[in-house]
Amino acid sequence: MENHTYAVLAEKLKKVYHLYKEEIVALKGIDVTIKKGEFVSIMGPSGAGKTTFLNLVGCLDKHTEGSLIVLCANLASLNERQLHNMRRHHLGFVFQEFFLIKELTALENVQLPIVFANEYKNLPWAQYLLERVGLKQRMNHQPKELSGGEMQRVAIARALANKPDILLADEPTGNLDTKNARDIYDLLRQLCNEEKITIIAATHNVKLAYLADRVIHLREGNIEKDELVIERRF
Amino acid sequence: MRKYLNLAYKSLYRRKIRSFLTIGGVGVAVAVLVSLLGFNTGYRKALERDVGGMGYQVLVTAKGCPYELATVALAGVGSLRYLTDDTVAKIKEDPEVAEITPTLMVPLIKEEGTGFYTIWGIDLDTYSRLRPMMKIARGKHKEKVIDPDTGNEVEKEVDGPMGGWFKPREVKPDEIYLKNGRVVKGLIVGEGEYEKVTSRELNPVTGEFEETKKTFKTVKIMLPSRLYKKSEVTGVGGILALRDGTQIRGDISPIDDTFKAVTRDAQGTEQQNTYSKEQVLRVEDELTLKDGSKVLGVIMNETNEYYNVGDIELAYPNTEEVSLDLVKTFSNGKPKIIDYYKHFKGETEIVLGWEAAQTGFLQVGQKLTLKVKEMTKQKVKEKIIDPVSGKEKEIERETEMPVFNAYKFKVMGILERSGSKDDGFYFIQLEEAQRIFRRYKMLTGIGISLHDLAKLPMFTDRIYNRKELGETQVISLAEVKGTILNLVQTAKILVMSVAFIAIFVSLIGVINTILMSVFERTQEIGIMKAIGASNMDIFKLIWLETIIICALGGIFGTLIAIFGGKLIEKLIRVVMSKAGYVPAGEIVQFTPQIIIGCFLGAILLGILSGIWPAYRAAKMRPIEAIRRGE
Ligand SMILES: Nc1ncnc2c1ncn2[C@@H]1O[C@H](COP(=O)(O)OP(=O)(O)O)[C@@H](O)[C@H]1O
Ligand SMILES: [Mg+2]
Repeated sequence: MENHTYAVLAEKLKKVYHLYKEEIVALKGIDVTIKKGEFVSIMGPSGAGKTTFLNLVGCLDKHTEGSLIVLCANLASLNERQLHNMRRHHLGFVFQEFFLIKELTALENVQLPIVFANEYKNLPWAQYLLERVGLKQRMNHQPKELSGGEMQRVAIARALANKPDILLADEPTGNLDTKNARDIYDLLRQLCNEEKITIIAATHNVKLAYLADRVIHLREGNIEKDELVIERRF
Repeated sequence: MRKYLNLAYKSLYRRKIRSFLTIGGVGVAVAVLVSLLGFNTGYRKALERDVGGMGYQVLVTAKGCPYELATVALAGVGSLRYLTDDTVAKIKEDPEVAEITPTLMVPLIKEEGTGFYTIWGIDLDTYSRLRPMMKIARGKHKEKVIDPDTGNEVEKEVDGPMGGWFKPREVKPDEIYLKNGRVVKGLIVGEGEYEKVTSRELNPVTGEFEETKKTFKTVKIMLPSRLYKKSEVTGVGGILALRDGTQIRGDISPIDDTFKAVTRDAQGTEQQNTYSKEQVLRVEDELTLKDGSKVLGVIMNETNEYYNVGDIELAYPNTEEVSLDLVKTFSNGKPKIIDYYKHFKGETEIVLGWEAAQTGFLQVGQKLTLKVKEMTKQKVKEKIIDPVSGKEKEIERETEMPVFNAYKFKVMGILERSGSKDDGFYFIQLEEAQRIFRRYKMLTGIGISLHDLAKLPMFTDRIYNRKELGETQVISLAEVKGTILNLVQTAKILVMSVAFIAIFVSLIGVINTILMSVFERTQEIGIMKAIGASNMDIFKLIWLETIIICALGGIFGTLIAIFGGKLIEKLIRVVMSKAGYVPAGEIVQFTPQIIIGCFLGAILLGILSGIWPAYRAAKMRPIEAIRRGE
């Protein structure tokens, strides 16, 4: 297997949470491979392990067993600094709750990752991104002045600020209405096609899930089904 | 750090009230510290100025508590003890003494009871040599002068020195040394002659006695006294000083070996008492003048125009005629007759410290009357109803009675502003002070400068070993400064610990505020990490917030201190004046070092208190942080 063609290579990936004395096995040893440039939906009911999977891939958490290689890096062997480097330069995260910084304007929010990465010369990129997600007129607005869909667009722009290879979206449309949800997915689709970004998006919305290239069905920590979308149903 | 500034500022601004309160807390702590340090330097400087301005290095006083003496030396307030003025000559014998000056300090309670007039009796000659820094002020000013044509007092604008020192004594008592060894001290006020029969022989022709007469030339000697115009005098009474310290004021008349005193109480009822010679220490006349001042002494003679009042200690015998034949030498070489009436008017020359002149709106040439309250012990008789017998009974009670008095002076000069305590003082000639305040031969201190200050310990030992000097105390002013600084130091340590508690509390306040905001922002911190913030980024961000709080607190506190400085100064003055000595001039002074130092201190506080919350924030695992926020 040639590693560099893969964005994610997971073998027997297991995640156990310890809650008091109880052990919760959120992922029960799944094998997943995601190619670069793929748009993958993670489908499944609540508690299936979608978020867990995204967090592991996003280097926000560490897996318990098995191996997880993200962009040629074996996450198990990375230290704090290297994990942080992965997050900073290679991964972008979008949350269901948007999680924008309240005091900062849309533009400042998008600039923040660039600022953290000390790449000031890239600051204009933030403006481009906001234009790209269709918020040219909204740049200097604070999050409270934006609608849910707009906020999620800002969040997506922010996730793309450091030009990541993989965009991880955990139920990005969970707080949006159907129209806005669809728009967000269209945006993701576009980004995938035009910017060649690997997108992994968790959702339990069937219609939206099938807008991706591939849908991985999770249930109780196991992969139930892994299907390529040959023909868009919707 | 710049990149976090916007974020840090905004997150502080989000929690406005809390941030401002914390800044306020830091501000108060810094203000306390700045004021304290300002006080420390200011006080030290002021003290240095006061002590340095003394001019002499050593002060000899009567024995007492060292701090009290220090206070007396610098501030002129405290319970006084006295030396006698012959001590000066004795100390002067010591080879180490370079200059020596006797002083008598007299605190007079103001009539309203709101403070003191501090009068210094000084010996101008020696005093000005020891303290050359005491200069007559110069500049444009107004003076009161007598118009030579009309004889009226007029105001004149003058540019130049504000008057001058006391006029040198034109007349000093002569000392006349007689052939028989006696010394007569007094003023020669006239010449005379008298005839004396040298022999008497029987003339055999006439059968009468023939006298051979010889004319002797004499000098008339009078002891120093003062003249008071009868038109100024409103009453003549007497004062009987008893050995037990009480004073009886009234009509005093000697009857055989006793004194009869007729006194009047406030209601005007007369009381009559007789005191035996043994009880009585001193009998004096008391003139009451129009302006309320009282003159004590012995009325030596009176003319149509004047009462001639002599000092009791000096006034016996008040005049003497000495035959020139008996005279061996005059201290002046030859008898110099002075016009007595010209020189001894009842007016004392005074030189004012700058502030004393300013607060009294006083001008050179002007008459100055200081109205004062003096406490004297008096015995009063009272009629009471005896509770046992029910009969009226007379008892004698001792009371402290205020006697309101007024002292008259003529303003001779105004001193240059020195910034020290001297500015508030009144200076008169030592003999005058001793005379008008009835402190015969008394001194409160003797200022000395030594040839070699290093030999001070030996000098001190020698003074202490000379028993004839009595109970004296030698204080070096360096020691005085030390004593006062020590005392202030103790107080300072106390207040400093308060300041440090304030700082400690504000430190905890800062840590608490930042830690709270860290916990509230757990999720935000998680997000920031998820979008690429490193642990160090988070650490620096939180750290910066803390430093901003403390820096703003520092600025705020310094401003409070500077603008509140006057208030703090007043407060310290009130508190310290209770303890005795407060130096003149600004005692709270802010130097750039203090302000910069405290500001840097506040930032250091921020740096220190920021470490822990920043570390806590940096250590948060991103996923847990995000989750915990949900
Ligand atoms: N931090 C955690 N501690 C304990 N249990 C957890 C934690 N995170 C997730 N879980 C559990 O793991 C399982 C999978 O959760 P998750 O990945 O959030 O599911 P999904 O996102 O598909 O709804 C659930 O049973 C959940 O309760
Ligand atoms: Mg989930």
